[in-house]
Amino acid sequence: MNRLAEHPLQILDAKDLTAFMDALAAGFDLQVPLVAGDATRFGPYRKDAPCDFSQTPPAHPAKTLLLPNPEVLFRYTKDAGGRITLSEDPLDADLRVALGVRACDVRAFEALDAVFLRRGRVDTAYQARRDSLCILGMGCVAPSPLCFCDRMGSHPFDTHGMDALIIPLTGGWVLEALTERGRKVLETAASLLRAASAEEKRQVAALRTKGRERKSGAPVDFEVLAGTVAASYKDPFWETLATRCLGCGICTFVCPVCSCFTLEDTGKTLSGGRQRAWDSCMFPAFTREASGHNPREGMDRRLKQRFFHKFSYSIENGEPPGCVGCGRCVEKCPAAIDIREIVDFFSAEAPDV
Amino acid sequence: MSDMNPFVPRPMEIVKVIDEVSSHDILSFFLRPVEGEIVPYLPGQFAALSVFGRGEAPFGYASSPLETGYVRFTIKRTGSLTRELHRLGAGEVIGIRGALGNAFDLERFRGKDLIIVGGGYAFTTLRSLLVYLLAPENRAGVGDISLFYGVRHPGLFLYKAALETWRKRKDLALHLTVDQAADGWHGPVGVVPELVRKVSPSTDNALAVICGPPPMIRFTLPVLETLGVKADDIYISMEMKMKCGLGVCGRCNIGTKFVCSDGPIFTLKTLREVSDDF
Ligand SMILES: Cc1cc2nc3c(=O)[nH]c(=O)nc-3n(C[C@H](O)[C@H](O)[C@H](O)COP(=O)(O)OP(=O)(O)OC[C@H]3O[C@@H](n4cnc5c(N)ncnc54)[C@H](O)[C@@H]3O)c2cc1C
Ligand code: SF4
Ligand code: SF4
Ligand code: FES
Repeated sequence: MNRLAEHPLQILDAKDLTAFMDALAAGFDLQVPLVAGDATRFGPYRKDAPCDFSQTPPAHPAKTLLLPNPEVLFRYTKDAGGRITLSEDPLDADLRVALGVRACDVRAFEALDAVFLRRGRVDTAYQARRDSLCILGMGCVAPSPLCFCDRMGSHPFDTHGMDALIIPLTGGWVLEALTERGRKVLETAASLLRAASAEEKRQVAALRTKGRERKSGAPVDFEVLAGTVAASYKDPFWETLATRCLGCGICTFVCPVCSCFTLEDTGKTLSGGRQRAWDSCMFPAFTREASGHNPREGMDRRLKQRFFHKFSYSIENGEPPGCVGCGRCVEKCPAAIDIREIVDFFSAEAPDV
Repeated sequence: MSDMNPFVPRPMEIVKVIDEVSSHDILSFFLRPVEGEIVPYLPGQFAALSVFGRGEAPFGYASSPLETGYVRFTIKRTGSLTRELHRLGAGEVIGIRGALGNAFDLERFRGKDLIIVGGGYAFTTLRSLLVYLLAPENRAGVGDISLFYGVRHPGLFLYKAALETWRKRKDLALHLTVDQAADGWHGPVGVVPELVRKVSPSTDNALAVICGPPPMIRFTLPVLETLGVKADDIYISMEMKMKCGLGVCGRCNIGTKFVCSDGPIFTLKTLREVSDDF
């Protein structure tokens, strides 16, 4: 029996963090939250690129790991005789290890799976990236006051969908493998790990309990919310909200669940590629047709599309809800539009039963 | 190249291009695969056509699956991709992804009279349906067919030769109309919904099919309902801006339904269930 199986809680001392990442990067494509201005964003680990595991959650959503923006879907070339040749870049099949992904972003992956793997045709590029991603998740010891994952069916130490969980303590990290894949990845750095002491186990248990008991508000009943939102199409609530919204789309770009995209050709007639780029239902051009007709010309219609999709259409179509409570849109909206208030408004409207 | 990546089109050679209307802004393109067979399709479905370097856009099949050796699309010049397409001629290669979307529910059409209403370039889809239904092997499968088709002026009718042969058929009541009176036009003048109201086809055993611009749809629906066609028996071909055609890019939904993958053909009943705008 190997050490990790014997002692599920392993300790990495803070001084060994760089050596740990070097060890993982030697064997795998290691993705970490890199410092990008005052934000962090997942990217390939490099010794000289600073990373920061303290943002809870990282300012950029982890969907960048599954949906790079932009992403070339295929390339074309046209020869002198007019013959067209199409080609695809190789799919990402080698194991990638993402270090420090938070529970909210991992939950969001499941909503993305529903779109890209189960709506109809399987998105092969997405699937390759998803299957090859080993998630060493991280519990949130100090959740942002704006996030509310506990209301959305999760909690700061949720391990759902992770291959291993990291719990940061003052002197280092506690690591717990959750899947065989997670265990194999951690084994590659086994020489840097030691079994947790009784005191460390006690600390972990206390943090977990505290996390599980977090209550940022009343838990959301998605079935009820789906019904009240669906019934609100003509509610003046939306027009009032529309007078504040700038239609900037920031909320959808920072959202780990939002996945609307556009397709565009780069290059010229002779060679180039077709790429997928993130798009937003908050932009009027998203649905404006060649004739000029736009079924969602009004800001109120676009707001309804965003929130109906998140809380009504998804539930009715048997897909996960469109919000995991990460709080990013609450923090970033320049118009101070707070999705928690919208959730509260429509949850309060629920008929008493 | 893998067959698995749903975004990769198949190369198609343009075999022939024909000019359809007096304004010269609607052309029919006849396409055949550079390699392999034509992908099977049914009336009502559409495909995404690619001009490499320009992009991709959706177009309804104008040919019927009974026409072999080519697929036909009839395309109006509107924006950047369609302008580029209109510059291409025989021998050039474009891309196709499809067949996409659902099709007319031909099983439900069995034994029914059909009231078919069309306008604008959306008539392409109706050509596919009519050529299919009027074929000897299929004609007995449905009852009476009344076809209503309107354009702004006579030069703008698509498929004039087909309309001429259909006019002579005894098993099809053809009702053409134009918005503006014109020299040499002896038929009715006025919009399609008005003509449907005036002719008042029997609706006892009828299903209706509408393909046309949004205002035509909006004004035809009450006429059909007043005549007695039930919402569940009215089929509408919907249009929304599209990119993926696979129900994933997120732009073409009407409520819970995606026009590209659940549609483009919906019954009025379904549309009312999923949207407050019908
Ligand atoms: C199911 C369906 C069937 C159609 N069948 C036909 C047909 O048989 N003949 C025909 O001439 N036209 C048809 N259209 C409309 C046709 O798709 C648009 O005219 C075309 O996309 C305009 O492209 P453009 O690049 O020239 O215009 P631009 O304004 O430059 O549009 C840029 C891109 O936006 C998207 N887009 C813009 N308008 C539309 C639109 N109305 N519908 C869907 N996507 C749009 C396309 O991806 C397009 O390439 C159909 C549309 C749908 C949804
Ligand atoms: S970030 Fe705020 S202002 Fe911008 S589109 Fe979203 S809700 Fe509107
Ligand atoms: S809607 Fe806002 S709070 Fe919810 S998951 Fe998206 S960004 Fe986070
Ligand atoms: S065109 Fe992308 S969802 Fe319909």
